[in-house]
Amino acid sequence: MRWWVFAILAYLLLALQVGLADAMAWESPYGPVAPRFLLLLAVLVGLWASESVVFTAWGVLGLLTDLASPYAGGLHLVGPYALGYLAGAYFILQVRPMLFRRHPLTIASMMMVSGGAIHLVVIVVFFTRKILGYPLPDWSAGDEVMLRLLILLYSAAVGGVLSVVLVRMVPLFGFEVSKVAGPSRPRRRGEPA
Amino acid sequence: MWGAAAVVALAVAALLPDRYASFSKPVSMAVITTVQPLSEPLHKLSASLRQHVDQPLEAVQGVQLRDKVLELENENYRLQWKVSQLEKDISALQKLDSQLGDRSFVYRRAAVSGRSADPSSNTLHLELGARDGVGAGMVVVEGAYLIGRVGQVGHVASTLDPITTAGTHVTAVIGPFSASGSGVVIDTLPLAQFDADGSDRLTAVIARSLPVQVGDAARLKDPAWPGAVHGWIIGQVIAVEDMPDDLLRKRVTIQAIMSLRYIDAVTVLVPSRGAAPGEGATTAVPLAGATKEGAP
Repeated sequence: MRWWVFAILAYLLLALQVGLADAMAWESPYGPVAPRFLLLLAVLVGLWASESVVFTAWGVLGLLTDLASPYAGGLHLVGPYALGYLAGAYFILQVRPMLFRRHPLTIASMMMVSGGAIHLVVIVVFFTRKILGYPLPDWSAGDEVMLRLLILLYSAAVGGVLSVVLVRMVPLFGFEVSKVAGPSRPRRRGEPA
Repeated sequence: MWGAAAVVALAVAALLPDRYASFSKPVSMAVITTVQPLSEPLHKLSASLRQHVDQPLEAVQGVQLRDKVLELENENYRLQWKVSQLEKDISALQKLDSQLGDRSFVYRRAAVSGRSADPSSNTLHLELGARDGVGAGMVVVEGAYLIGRVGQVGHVASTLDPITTAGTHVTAVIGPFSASGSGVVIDTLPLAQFDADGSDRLTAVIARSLPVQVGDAARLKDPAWPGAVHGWIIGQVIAVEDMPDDLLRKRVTIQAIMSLRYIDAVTVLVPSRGAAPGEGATTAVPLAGATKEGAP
């Protein structure tokens, strides 16, 4: 994968996520629901890149999200999203051999499910912090689940539309498709290993 | 092997207590600063779009005029409070003044360049940092309204913790929105301790007999905040509800009038003794309501 293409797109999409979130946000009882653009890039890389590249790229995107997420009182946490993205990477690597990579619906649905894995890990981390005695102020797991579910739905809808453009940019990334492992077929009885 | 080590390190970092978790601050501020050139114009565009979509165009002028009047009202309230304090005891005022650091301020405009990438946080990114004299805990206002305080400060960027951040406790008086000339003195207004729940609302429980009604304004009167912003509006009363389990008290809910979505720039109150006027890329902008003792 050409990392400079990935870096430029990650920069652009992070700026979009941080700067344009309010324009696209709608109010819900659980908080503002805005799309997450970095997840779209992550899914694109997750569907096309080799395994080691997927883990590295998703880890980088998770760290970026952590670093661009200050909390009240000057708190910065490194880890919740990085861990979440690694879990998401693992998940997408397991299911991608069964998918039609170029279809917008594939990207939208992968944003939903791998994004679900990411947010599940983030919620677990915050919940653990709550149990350990240093929670985020007024943090409620129930509200967070609902808010993040709505965000995923919205992100998947926006991502599905944007993926039409992004899929055409796949050659720019220079993915080594030959390194992408397919599903391992179960060996038949009597077949040599 | 390395992957497992990285996962363990990340898990440990994610679960560090708050006081140890600040090791990533320099990198974090660097990321926020790097994204600013692109995110700041986008956020400005976003704020402008939201304002025009959510508010009818013809109402914008009226809102601006109302804001101007309210700015003057803020000044009126603040002066009333000052006068009443002086009448009581001049020496007590001097002591209070020195305690609160109510001296003079330099007003620095700060563009809002984005918001936290995590939905759990409503922290905003500001395009001003230590280079411009901004420090943690400084008060942030916009127009006639109190917005919050500066959280983390980098060299050229900082974060803003809105007053509506979950877990914030603030004391305020509740009174009519426009009490100019009606003889209402801020000291006579009912006092309430508001708690933020993370939305744009704050709630307080007060004695049922206190005269509070929907539409009233809540004005800051909290010793933890500098005296210069006492009397500034933090929100408008949107609900007054009886409490079924407590017949002697009622619950008051206020809502921040200035939605964080509409804000593309805010004003940071930088104490003049800690700032060098004219230094940095920003200019000092005096506000109505503070120019008398605020202008450097």
